Amino acid sequence: MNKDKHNLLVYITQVSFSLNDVVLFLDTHPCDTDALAYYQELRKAREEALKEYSMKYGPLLNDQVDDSCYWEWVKDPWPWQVYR
Amino acid sequence: MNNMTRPPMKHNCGCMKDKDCMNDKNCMNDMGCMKDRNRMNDMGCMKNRNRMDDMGCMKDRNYMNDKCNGCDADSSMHNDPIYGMPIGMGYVPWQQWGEIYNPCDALKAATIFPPLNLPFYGCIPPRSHDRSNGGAL
Repeated sequence: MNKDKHNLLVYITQVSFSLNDVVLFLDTHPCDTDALAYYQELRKAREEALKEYSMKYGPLLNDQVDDSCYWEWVKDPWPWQVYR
Repeated sequence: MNNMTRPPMKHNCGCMKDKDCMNDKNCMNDMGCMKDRNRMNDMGCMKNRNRMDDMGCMKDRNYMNDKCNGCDADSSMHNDPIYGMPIGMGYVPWQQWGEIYNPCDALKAATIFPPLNLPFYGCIPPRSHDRSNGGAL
C-alpha cells in the first residue's frame, strides 16, 4: 500500500474511532453542546476523508460505489490480499 | 486448642500492590493497585488488623472500648463523599465534558477522554508456547 493511501486510511481510522466515542458520550448527554459541536466537526472530517479515499483508491465502504456500469466493490484487493 | 497463627497480611493500607499475588506471574486474581482508584473502591485500611478475627475498629459502635482510636475504616461524613446516600446501591460519578484527545492520541489511548485513559492491570494468560511474559504486556 503506498504511503499516502496508508496514512489516509490511518487518519480515517482515528477520526472514526473518535466519532464513535463522542457518540457514546452523546447517548448519555444528549444536550451537551460542546460534545455536539465536536461530533459535527468529526463527522465532516470523516466524510471528507472517505470521499478523498474513494476518489483516489476506490470504494472503502460498499455504499461508495459510483459506477453505473460495473460493481467496483469486487475488484482486488480483497481484505486478505492487503499486505502491510 | 491449637494455637494457629497466620502470617501477617503483607499489603499496605489501600494498596494491593504488595500482596504476594502481584509478584506471581501466573496470578489470575490480580486486582491492581487500589490506591489510585476512585475512593468508592477503597476497601478500607487493613493496617490495623492483626488478628484474623478482628472485627475492626469498634469506635463507632456502642461497645465501650476506648482503646480504639484513629481507625481508618471510618465511614463517617468526614471520610465518605457520598455519606448518607441509600445503601446497597452502586454509584457512578457523572461524567462532564472536558479537554479531548486529538484523533491520533485518542486511538492510542483507546478513549477520547483523558480521565478515562487508565492503565490496565489485568493479568493476561500466557500463550501456551511462551510463558516468559505471563503478566501484562
